[in-house]
Amino acid sequence: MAKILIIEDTENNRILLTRRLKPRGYEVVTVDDAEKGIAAVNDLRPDLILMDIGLPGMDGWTATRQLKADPNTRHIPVIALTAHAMQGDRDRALEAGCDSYETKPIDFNALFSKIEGLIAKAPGQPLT
Amino acid sequence: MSGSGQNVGSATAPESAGAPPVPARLSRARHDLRNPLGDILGFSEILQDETTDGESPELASGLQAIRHSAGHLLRQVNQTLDFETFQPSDRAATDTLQRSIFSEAQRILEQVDRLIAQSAAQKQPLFLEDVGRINYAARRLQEIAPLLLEQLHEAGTVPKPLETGDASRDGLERPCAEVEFATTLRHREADSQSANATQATLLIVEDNENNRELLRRRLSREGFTVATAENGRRALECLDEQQFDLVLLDIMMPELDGHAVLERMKQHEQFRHIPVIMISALDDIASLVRCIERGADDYLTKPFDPVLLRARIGACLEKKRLRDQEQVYLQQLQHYLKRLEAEQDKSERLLLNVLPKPIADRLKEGETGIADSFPEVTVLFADLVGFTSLSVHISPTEVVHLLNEVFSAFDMLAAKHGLEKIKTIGDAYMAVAGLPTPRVDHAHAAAELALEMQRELDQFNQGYRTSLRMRIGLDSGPVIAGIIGRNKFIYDLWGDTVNTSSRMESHGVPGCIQMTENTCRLLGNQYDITPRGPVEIKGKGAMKTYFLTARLTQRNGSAGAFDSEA
Repeated sequence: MAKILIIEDTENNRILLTRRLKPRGYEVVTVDDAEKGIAAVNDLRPDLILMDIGLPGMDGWTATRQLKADPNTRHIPVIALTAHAMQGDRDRALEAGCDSYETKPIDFNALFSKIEGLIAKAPGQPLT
Repeated sequence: MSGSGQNVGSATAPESAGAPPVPARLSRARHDLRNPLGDILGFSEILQDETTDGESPELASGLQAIRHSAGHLLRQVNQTLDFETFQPSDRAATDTLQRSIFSEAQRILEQVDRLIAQSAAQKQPLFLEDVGRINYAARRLQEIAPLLLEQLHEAGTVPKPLETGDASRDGLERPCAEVEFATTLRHREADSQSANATQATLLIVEDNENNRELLRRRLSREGFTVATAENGRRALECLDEQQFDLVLLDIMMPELDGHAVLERMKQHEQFRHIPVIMISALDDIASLVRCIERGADDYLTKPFDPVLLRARIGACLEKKRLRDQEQVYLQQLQHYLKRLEAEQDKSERLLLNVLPKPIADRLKEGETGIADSFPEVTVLFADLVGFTSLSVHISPTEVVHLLNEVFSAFDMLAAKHGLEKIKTIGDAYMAVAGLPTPRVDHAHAAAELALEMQRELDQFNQGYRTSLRMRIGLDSGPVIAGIIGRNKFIYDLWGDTVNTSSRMESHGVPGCIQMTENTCRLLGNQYDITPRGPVEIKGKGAMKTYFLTARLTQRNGSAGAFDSEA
């Protein structure tokens, strides 16, 4: 069962994502900020991260860059969830190293296929 | 990329309409609007997924309707608040979006109510929770959209972020009055009504500082000049200091409430005509009714629809404008009426120049063919001798001028003696005594006039060094007096008396007054009268005539003992 880590500060969105993903057979873990998220990644070893961009404190891009810079975590696919509020959100997301992005409000069908696609092609986890 | 987001915290620029929005504002608006929409879409979708089809078609269709509304709104938000195409001056676009948000959110809320009202099976905690979230999100949209969109059009710092707040368990909390009141809507109409309104000066009377300030900002941006007062007493002071076109008046206020202010305004001549829109809470209807009875023009209940406020302000100002115009028209009317009256007076005087007043009145009444019979009058004819020879020496203009002098003097004398001057024919003068109002002493009046006319001519001759002379003829008897003809008519006399008096004149002697026996008989023995031998009068044969020389005064006693044939 694939494991998804959701880093999202808004409770509603956490709930929505959880309730949509769980029935699809994913194991879902949520945290509400980037630092907790980065800390959790090592323990959890998720198969995919859903990263909210508009996070308080450390923002999603910084967190993504950090994860992608770290050899232990760089292989984990990150899907940025952006509110598409700012110009160039998409570009920044991709530039930070996100593997994909999805704009809120989330089109779940699109999200599901992206998740499936990314998990399927994720290389095997490196040995710690 | 334009450094978006870096303007947060910059110094407040003075508010100016049309200044480019800080991109962060647009982002904020997008973010804050899309979030609740996302919630609505997300949770209704989940509910749809988690409900099997067979369970409840109403539930399914209700959720579908909610998703439809939210989806529609989302598209609109994306379209309107597009980074590439959004224009800060385009208020119409945000207005449309605002209205859409309001109405779609309203639909969603109604759907939610219906869903909750449905069968008990749906009332599972999780269901209610989700529905509650949808409800809260819809309310949230209504709350925040106006302010968010409003701020897109102003310059200055990005405002503090609105509290996102967590969904409550059932999500059915009432939005606080303050946030509701913070909803602002720009609704600038293209038509002339708004063009007229935007120069108006408004007075906002409201004790709540937030509400007052928000109203002031909103209405200022609409183009109104706005003043505020925090209570009734201050409101009256403002009214004294400045001219206002409209007053927005809260009812509940300390130090003189809305009722009192309204009453004072209506008592004051100066303020009576200023339109007043009362503002009050919804449950204060009785109060509102009192205000309307006291003369308030309109009312709005809090929280009120900004569109309605704008429309009602516009309507009141229009009403006032029309009323003011009416006043102007009335004043103009007064002015024209006065002028008309003056003209009418002039016409009247002109007419009276031509006709005796009673005749003029009858003519004005529409009487035609005025011809009255007077049994007893005395007609006087006078003819100036020597005028023609005058014209040899002086110009025709001067001749006429002289004639005018003489006849004007005669006119005054005729009026003095109560005779009606009829006409002049060349250098002949005709008057009559005893009409239009009959008098017993008509002969005496005519005699007096004749004598005074002679004296007048003497004086004239002295003054002008002329040697004009005059023949005067008198006869007494019946005449017909009236108006003949349609155009350029005069009041004229007909009858034998007229002809005879004319003959008395033409067959007379310059410097003398010749009269018939009729007149002589009427004069009695108050006058010095000399009989003249029978005179051959054209058309009448021989007639006994008399010369009138003077009035006999009592002092003179027996001067002139000649008998008149009594």
